[in-house]
Amino acid sequence: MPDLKQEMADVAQAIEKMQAQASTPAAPPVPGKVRLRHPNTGDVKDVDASPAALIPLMGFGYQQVKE
Amino acid sequence: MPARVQQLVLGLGQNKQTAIGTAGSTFLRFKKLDTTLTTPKPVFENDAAEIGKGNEFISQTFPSHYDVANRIEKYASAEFVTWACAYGLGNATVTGSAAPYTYTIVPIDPGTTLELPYFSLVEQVSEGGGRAIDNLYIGCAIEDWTYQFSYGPGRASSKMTVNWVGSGLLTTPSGITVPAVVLENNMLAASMSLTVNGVDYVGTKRILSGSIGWKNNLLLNAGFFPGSGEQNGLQVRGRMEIGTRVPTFQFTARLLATSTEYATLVAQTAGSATLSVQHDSGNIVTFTFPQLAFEMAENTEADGIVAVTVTGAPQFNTTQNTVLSVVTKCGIPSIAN
Repeated sequence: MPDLKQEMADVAQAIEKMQAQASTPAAPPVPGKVRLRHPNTGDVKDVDASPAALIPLMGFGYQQVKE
Repeated sequence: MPARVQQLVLGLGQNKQTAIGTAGSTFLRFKKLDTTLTTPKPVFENDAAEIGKGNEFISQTFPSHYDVANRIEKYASAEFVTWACAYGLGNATVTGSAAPYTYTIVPIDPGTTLELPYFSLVEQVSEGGGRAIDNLYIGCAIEDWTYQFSYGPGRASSKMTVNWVGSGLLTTPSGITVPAVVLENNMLAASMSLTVNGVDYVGTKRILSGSIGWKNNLLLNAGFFPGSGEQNGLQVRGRMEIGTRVPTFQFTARLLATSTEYATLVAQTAGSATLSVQHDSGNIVTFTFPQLAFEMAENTEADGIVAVTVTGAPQFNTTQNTVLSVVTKCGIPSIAN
């Protein structure tokens, strides 16, 4: 039971963290960079606006974030 | 008064739909070569084969589903190739604050999603003050595209063909005002550069013809799932997922004493292949297979000249994390975005 309580507390904490992240407006990417986001993990990366930099991440499923 | 097929107004969705059942609102009007008109085909089944009704003839029909599909064959322009690759491969990033915009396009990652971006498509044919055809097809996806190049003069040296499939959802009349025809920048094969496995086929004046293709093998039956939806009592698809996708690359080049195709095939040497065509510096398309071996090299002839037709076997590259990438430049923003 203590393990379950701890697990529930951890989950609640993770949800709070996610909600806080979602409600915090992110600064736009600096010029020359493109913002990519992974739709499953939510991971965000600002990468150079060049195909060489974009392709390896897009191949993993990262998608452009519309500003 | 009948209507001529040249009156067809074809509008292809510019921005991707937000959901398969939500129509897009921005369209690009393109010309095309083939004369096919899309039919919103309702499919009915019947009880002819059923036992117990006294004879083998139909006594009743039943609504089944909508079947919507068609093809678009065009001279290859930077605008249309960008549209086809962005929707056909599925993951496109557009950069640049003014034209020309740069598109970086790769196939969708199946670990992330199995659904390509959906687009809307409108067809209109005016007739006698009204419209003989005015359909908006909602929730369409690209089944396959093929870029073909060949020797010879003019725009026919560089063509792009797309086969697309609809969810079955449609709105008639469309209620869409399609904008003016896109001023396309055609890319002749004469502008081509092609390097395969370290061999410059243009520099050596050997390349004759070829094609690059992508087929999604969409799981069309799986689109009719329980709860997928109905229209006029007929089932419509609620999703169109990719099946086993197949990239293809084939080319025919003149065969010389110094040709390396057979040796490359036997050794199964894998290298990159890059094909680029352009109209000008602002309208370019570059296809790149980061890792390509040869599957077949067949001796042939073209116009009496001995040649070799090579069928490539594109491989997934673990550095680029893709099997194919397409980088384009054109003047249209937000295609498939």
